[in-house]
Amino acid sequence: MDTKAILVETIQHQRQLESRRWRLIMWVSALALLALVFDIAIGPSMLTLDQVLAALMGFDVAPMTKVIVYDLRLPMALMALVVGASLGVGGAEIQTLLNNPMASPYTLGLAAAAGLGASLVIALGSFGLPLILAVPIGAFSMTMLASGVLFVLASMSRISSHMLILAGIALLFLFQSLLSLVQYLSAPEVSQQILFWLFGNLTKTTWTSLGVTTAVSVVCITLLMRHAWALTALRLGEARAATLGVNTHRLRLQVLFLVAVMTSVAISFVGVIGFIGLVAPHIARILVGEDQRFFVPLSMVTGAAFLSIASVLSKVIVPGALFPVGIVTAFVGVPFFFWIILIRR
Amino acid sequence: MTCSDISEAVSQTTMPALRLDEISIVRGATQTARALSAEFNAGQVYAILGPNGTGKSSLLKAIFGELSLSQGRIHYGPHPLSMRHLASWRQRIGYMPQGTEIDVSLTVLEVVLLGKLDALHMYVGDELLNEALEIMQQVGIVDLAHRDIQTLSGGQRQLAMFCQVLLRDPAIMLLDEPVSALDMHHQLNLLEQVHQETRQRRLITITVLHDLSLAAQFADQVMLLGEGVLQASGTPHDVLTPERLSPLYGVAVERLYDSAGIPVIRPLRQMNRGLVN
Repeated sequence: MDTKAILVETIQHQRQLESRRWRLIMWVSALALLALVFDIAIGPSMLTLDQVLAALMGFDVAPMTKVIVYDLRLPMALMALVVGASLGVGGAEIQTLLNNPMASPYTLGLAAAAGLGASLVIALGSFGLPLILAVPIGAFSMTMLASGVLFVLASMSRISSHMLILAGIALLFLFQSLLSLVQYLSAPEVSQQILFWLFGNLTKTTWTSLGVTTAVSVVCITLLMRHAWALTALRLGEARAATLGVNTHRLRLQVLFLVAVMTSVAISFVGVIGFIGLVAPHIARILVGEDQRFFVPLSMVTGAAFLSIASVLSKVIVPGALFPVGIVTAFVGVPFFFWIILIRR
Repeated sequence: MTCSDISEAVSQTTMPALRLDEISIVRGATQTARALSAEFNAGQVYAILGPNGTGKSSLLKAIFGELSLSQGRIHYGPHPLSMRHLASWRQRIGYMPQGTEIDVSLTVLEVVLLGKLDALHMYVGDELLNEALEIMQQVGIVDLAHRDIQTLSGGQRQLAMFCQVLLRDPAIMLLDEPVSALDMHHQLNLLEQVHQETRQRRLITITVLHDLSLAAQFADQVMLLGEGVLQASGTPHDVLTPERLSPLYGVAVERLYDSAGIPVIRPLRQMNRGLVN
């Protein structure tokens, strides 16, 4: 074969590879949408599928049914997708940034910080604000404080990514012990309330919280995608990325900021859902590698599908009851994760 | 006048040179270069030689602007290296650092494409793919284009990184031990490519090498470093003498000649010497 033909064939192969990756992303998106349908159709109120469909199509249904479908199930089910997506992307970018597949927003202490912020508001009161607003604000403020510490550390050029991970883990322990302290000092019923928030659940979702989370996620993910190739280069190591013209220092700060804002908002509304930031990027990496053009979208839809499925499961494990989805995520996720790791070898 | 002499003369008039003026580099508490001056011309391959820890890599890093100078200046033509215009300085440089460890799940083609980082978007067009693949074909790794870089041998990875540097289309090429993981065949292949590309594209090529005989075969000029000080520079023939090398490396050295009359440097076993004496 002459040399030109080899090049043409290799380019064709590359195009096939690209479309195969896009198809994979489509399939996982379809899975997420399927989970969304189930998520809307299933719930503790035992509505029949007909009733749910009728309500969704805008037919005349009982007012109670309408409230359940429109004000409870639909925002909750959509929130599962959005939060899953933002945690998936957050995990992917933190892993890229820190050059470590074991990192996630959770390991950097962001989730623990959210927990502490929320618990402080629940324990100390909300200064007149309605609790449904004050708790997310408290969680968000504390998460931004934790991110701020990481941000300052990351801005020092002496600090390597290993040291940043260590600092994050140290923060995780600090916030966890402070959280325990708050719980220890609180009255039992307050402590109970804190515990319930910590489980992570979607039940408090409103159209407003869904709107805020969606808007923030869309903006942050779009901005992150602009750095797709620079982030891909970063995974060759900071020194090599610098040889390719990446300003690694500035990139590190920008990405850390975007991920912190995005995951903080998500966690603040739904509580601690830890596992997705680790598992979604891992699955995406196995399926399409770490070219960020495919890695980020696939981490996103995998995270969305994962949380949506967990949300469905949280409703069917005990019919009529609703488990906190944060518990279900790890419960289902860990065996699945082990299975992936084992079949890969 | 030989062919290479003519091209050298042409290059000196048309392409800027890279000049180091009395540069000193301090790394932590140790000084890795002291009042070092040199001039590098386009179309020439320069090999930096010397024992371990004498600041060969540091010199490349300083030229790249990764290590700051404690004294002296670096110029490319009229342009000085300054930390404020680092991005545009680095634009001209294709730098291949030491080491072959890569733990990222990317295909070889994706890694090579990163060389043209500024030109990459969500969709990478046929033209750019073709450019990358042509270089890969020339270097002999086009058949590896879709392999995961992690599954490659260290030597194959070195070839991929070299393709990445070429795709950058640099004016200055800095190679830090580019053949350390390669077998004989690939060592020759890569250095031959370095030589050809340097001539064709009128590059300034500076490479750190450990194998003195390879340096003698492929470098136009060699620079011998010892303790951060330039011990000697010039053609391999003039610089690589046993009188200079023996004390510097701390071993007895013999200089032989191959059939083309190029020097071959061979370290001698201490034991052998004992037996002969």
